[in-house]
Amino acid sequence: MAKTNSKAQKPARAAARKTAAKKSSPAAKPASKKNASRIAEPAVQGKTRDKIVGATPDAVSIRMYCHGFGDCFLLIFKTAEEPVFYMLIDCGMLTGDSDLLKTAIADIKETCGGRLDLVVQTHEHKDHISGFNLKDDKGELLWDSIAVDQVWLAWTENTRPDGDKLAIELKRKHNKKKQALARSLSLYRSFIDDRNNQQEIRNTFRGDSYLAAQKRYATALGQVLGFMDISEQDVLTKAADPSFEFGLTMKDAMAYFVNRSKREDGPDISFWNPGDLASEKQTGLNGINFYFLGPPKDYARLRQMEDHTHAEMYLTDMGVSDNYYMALTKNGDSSGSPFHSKYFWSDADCTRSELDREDHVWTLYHGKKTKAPGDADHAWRKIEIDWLHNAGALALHLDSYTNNTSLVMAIEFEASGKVLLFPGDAQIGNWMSWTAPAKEGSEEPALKWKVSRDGKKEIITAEALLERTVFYKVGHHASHNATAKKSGLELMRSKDLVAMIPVDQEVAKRQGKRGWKMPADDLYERLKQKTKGRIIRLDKGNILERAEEKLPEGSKPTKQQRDGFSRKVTESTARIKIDGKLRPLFFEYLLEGDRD
Amino acid sequence: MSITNCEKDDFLRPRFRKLRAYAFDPSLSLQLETNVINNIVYKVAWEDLSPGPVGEYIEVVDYDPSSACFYRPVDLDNAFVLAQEGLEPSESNPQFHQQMVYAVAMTTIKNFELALGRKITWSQYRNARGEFSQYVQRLRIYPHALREANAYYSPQKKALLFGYFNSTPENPGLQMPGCTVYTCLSHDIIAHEITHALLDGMHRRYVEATHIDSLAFHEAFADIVALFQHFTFPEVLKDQIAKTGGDLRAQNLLGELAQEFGKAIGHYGSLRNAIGRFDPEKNIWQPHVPNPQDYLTEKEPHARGAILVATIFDAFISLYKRRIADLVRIATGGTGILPPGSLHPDLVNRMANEASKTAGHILKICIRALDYCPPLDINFGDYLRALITSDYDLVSDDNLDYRIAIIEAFQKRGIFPDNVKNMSVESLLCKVEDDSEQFESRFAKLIDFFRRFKEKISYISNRREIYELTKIFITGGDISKESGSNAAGVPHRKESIQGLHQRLNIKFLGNEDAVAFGKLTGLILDDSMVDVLGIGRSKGRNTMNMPMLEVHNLKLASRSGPRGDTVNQIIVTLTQKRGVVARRDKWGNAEIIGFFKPEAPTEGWYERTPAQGGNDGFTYTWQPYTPRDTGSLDEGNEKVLPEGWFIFRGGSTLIFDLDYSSDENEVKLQYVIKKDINDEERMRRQFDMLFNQQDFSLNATYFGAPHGNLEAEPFAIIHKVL
Repeated sequence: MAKTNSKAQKPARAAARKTAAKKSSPAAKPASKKNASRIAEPAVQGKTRDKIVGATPDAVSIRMYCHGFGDCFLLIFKTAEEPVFYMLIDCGMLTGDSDLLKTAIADIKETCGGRLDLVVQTHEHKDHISGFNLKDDKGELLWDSIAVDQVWLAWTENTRPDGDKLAIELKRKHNKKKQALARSLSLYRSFIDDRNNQQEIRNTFRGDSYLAAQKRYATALGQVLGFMDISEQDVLTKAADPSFEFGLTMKDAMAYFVNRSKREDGPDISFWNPGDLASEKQTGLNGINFYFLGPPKDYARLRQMEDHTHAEMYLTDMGVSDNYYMALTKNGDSSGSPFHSKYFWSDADCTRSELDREDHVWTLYHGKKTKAPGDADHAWRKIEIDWLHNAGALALHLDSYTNNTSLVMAIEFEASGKVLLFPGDAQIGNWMSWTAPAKEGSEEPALKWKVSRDGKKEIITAEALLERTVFYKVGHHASHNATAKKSGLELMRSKDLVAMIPVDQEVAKRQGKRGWKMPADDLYERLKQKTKGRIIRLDKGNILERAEEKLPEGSKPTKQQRDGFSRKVTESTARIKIDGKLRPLFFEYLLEGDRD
Repeated sequence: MSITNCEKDDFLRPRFRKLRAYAFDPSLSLQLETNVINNIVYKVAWEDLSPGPVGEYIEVVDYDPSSACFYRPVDLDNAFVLAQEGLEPSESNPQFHQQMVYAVAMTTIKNFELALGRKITWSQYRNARGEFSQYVQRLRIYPHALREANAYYSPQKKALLFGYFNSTPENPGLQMPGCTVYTCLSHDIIAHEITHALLDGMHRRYVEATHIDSLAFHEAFADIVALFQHFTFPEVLKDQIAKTGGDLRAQNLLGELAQEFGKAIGHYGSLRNAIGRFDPEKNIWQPHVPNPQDYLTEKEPHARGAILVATIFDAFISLYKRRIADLVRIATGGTGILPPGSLHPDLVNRMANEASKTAGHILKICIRALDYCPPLDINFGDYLRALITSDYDLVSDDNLDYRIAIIEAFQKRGIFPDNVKNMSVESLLCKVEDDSEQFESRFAKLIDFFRRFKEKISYISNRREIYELTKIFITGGDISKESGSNAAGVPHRKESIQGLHQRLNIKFLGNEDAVAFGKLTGLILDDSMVDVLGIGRSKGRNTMNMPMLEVHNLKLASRSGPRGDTVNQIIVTLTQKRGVVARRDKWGNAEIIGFFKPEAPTEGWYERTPAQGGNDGFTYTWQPYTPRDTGSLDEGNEKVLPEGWFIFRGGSTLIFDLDYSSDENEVKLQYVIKKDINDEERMRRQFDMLFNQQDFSLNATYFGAPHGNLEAEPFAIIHKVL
């Protein structure tokens, strides 16, 4: 673990709290009943703070906000039903009405009494962090009015000058790629938006479909860029400017707390490596352990986006070769060519009669200058933008890479051994690293934690944590590539497993050519079997209470399981309107940590 | 000096143009060990060329869009260039790149023409509505089109696009890290890509992914051609065979060699790994033991294609072993055990020649089989039948057991054709299974027509004229202009013919025979069912209101086999398309629920429900069209087809024997290779392919196609040569 603040820990935190409390007090109005949730009464200020040190939570409520397509989880640790610790994991949305996200933030603030003990930002994607730099009507940052004690980030975000060397290197690469991607898209768009070009494409067989495919392709690229909050507008107007930095808003959102930590009342920032463990010393919570499983400190793994049954495993760095970036920074200049300029050639080097020949290379490509009827026209064979299709590989690479930098946390109730798994949007490379052997051929995993329990030394492995997982926040809105099968879901063997899926299927359906498959059918089915249908979805709540949700074979819960689960799932009385339908602001699940 | 000067003198035109190029790719020229075999001279059939090179079949247009410039086209007729057998191999000279793509492309084209017994044509250009088609004389090659480790054939542009990239090699000893690697300098990549184009020219429906084998077949076939074309260069083989010394693992060595080809340019994890792998512990290369399960379980097109490559390679190895067994016995005084140390150079030469000859045979057999393939939806089993049938036709006496070797190899990999009782040569032949006797007299008339076609076409050597004439024979019209009969001075005499398309309609349709002929050919021609079954009716002038039917191709195949057998056949392909509406039933299985007209999906569809009575045990009720509601709705085809709607094709390749019909009563339709348009099993399979929920990739999630950044370029990503 790396710390940003050099302050001595405990006193510093106490000091920070005081100032924070002072600062936030004007903002913390008495809770209005209208927005109050059915179960979680807003904590009275100061009360939680006194209790926090040395508290031993026996339960945790996991609250999933339903403001839109994105992750925002509030965890409320409780001792004897009294809240003792507020922890937020992510706060963002991909598309939709940002007012709804503001509503969610207001609710968070009210619930925690204006102060969070801990905020976790898993990775730099819009659907996870866009809330952190939202502003109110007066232009004030919403989060400025919420005090935060601690912020946890993955090692990949430790890019200060004295930070993690690999992280700095990766961030630099990443930015370059982002730039290249935006530039590709802008070149691509300007070509296919040109009416003459469109007409030329339409003239060919299936030209409509070809053009449509190209348009969809540009849209899809734009959507991937959307995860980084790079707008089409920016792409079109700023791509040619090498000094313009793309995705600044998300960079800002991600850096929000790091910047705030520089202030007197700022939070403590911690960067975590795989293999780290945060316990009472960091959180003041007895009997609660936070194990960090990812992101792996290995570029090869960070790049791995899918398992080997898919073609993309071949997309290594080569797919995004350096000379591709180079071409994009050259702005149509031939100096990027790999060949000596003596080989360059143009129609200026040719005589008029040469250019009139049908089989002259220049004429073949550009067509005759003076076209007579019946002259062969080869405009349909031009290749002006075909090379930009490489951007698709680049986009996938970039998107998956960022997902793979997700901070992965397993939260353990030490007494009962129950584990909650929050993998962010980790993709296969990240998942695989948890259980990967230290050496090829050995059984011993590289990742393990040495702990002492009751005076005895013990070794905890990721496999053991997965084995005991009773709550799983499904990664990446339950897409097919963000939950490993063999080294992930299949290792979760607890009969009490419950899953929460932050997915809005209707929104996902509207993306891409055929709609994004979220949740992915096969994963969703397996999840149902693994959890005996005990799944809470952002768009549907407790699916056991939804008649349209079919339970596949092997996923029928017993009556006891069904009732027990339904008792623990609650929803807010506050409603929000999405797609013309009312939906609760959040769903909440109560996990009792001390009982089996 | 230019070429025209030569023609004034009374010299014979040269038969070949010799061009230097790499046998593999540049990286091997940097190794002492392989340098010798890497630089070889390609003997390309002589043709007049313009700078580019631009010739009869190929136009190399060296435009580099990412650098916004052209590279000066090479003039291969330049005296200095001619005098030294082309430009010297060099990575830094783009003109040499142009020369190399030309040399390899032409070598591959000639191999195809030799095997097929006719001139090849590229797939034709069609205008926006698809009703007007135009001859594409030359395939275009862009040697520096992309900046990525990729090269592909674009069916839309009738062009090959090659990329270049900065390498991050597995083995820095082979390539300098960060140096630029050009895909257009690899023999295998060029041969592979141009094979896609050639295959598309013959079977343009094969680019449609309707079967799990379709894209895999395209890939595998292109690899087979690249691989065996390589083995036809004896100089490449000699060096390697000499290296075996006394250790007779020659069969493994060739496999290893095959794999080296792929590795050189960083074909990491590529197709060729299917043949075998290097065992790091024993430090030897070992071939894979064929696993029949792979064909059942492997879904990814590369890996699946690899199965077919490995299968053909197995057949090659067993034939090669048989062919050199006697040589080895002679060389060892009958023991068959070679002594340690170097092999006798004569023996090496003979063995290399045998390998090269065998490779040449295999290459020919593989290419020739394409004429015997179904017009669409091919799978590996169909290909096996095509291999056997084409070889059976041409080589009556299979004394070297080529056919058995091929069957055995397929059997070992668990590839079995559908609807075949056993794996013997007889049952694998694509014989006519249905009763076609009632059509014999009508076929006789057709044969007359085909004969006329043969007469006309046999004397034309211009590819454009062949194309235009074939088109007229299909659609009808005046053939006098194209058949060269109105040479200067001869008065133009109009010679109108009725096209094959119309002939088929008149001969077979509008009566009971239509149903029978439909059954024979796998088409729906029953006038009363055409509408409800989603076929649609023609709007063509000569075939107004007839069921839609496409005469896909009309080809003459005149070949002579190694033992003097000759074959004169007419190959006709007929296809139809229909719109199918399907959904998943409650068990998750595909269920066909109705049909729509492919031309007009928005006019609604006919729902099919099982019923007593009715023509075929179903009743059909018209239903209105409901637009789709998922995904982005831009323009183009996908806009209109809702989930579960798709275009389904069927049809057959008919092979008529021209020689057999000397007596009018003995007219014969020799083979029917059928993909029935009524085959619901196939419909369901295609539905599963298209609307697959179980297995999809990240690429599919974001870009709508499992393999290909742009759906419209089916080969674009599949080729990432990483």
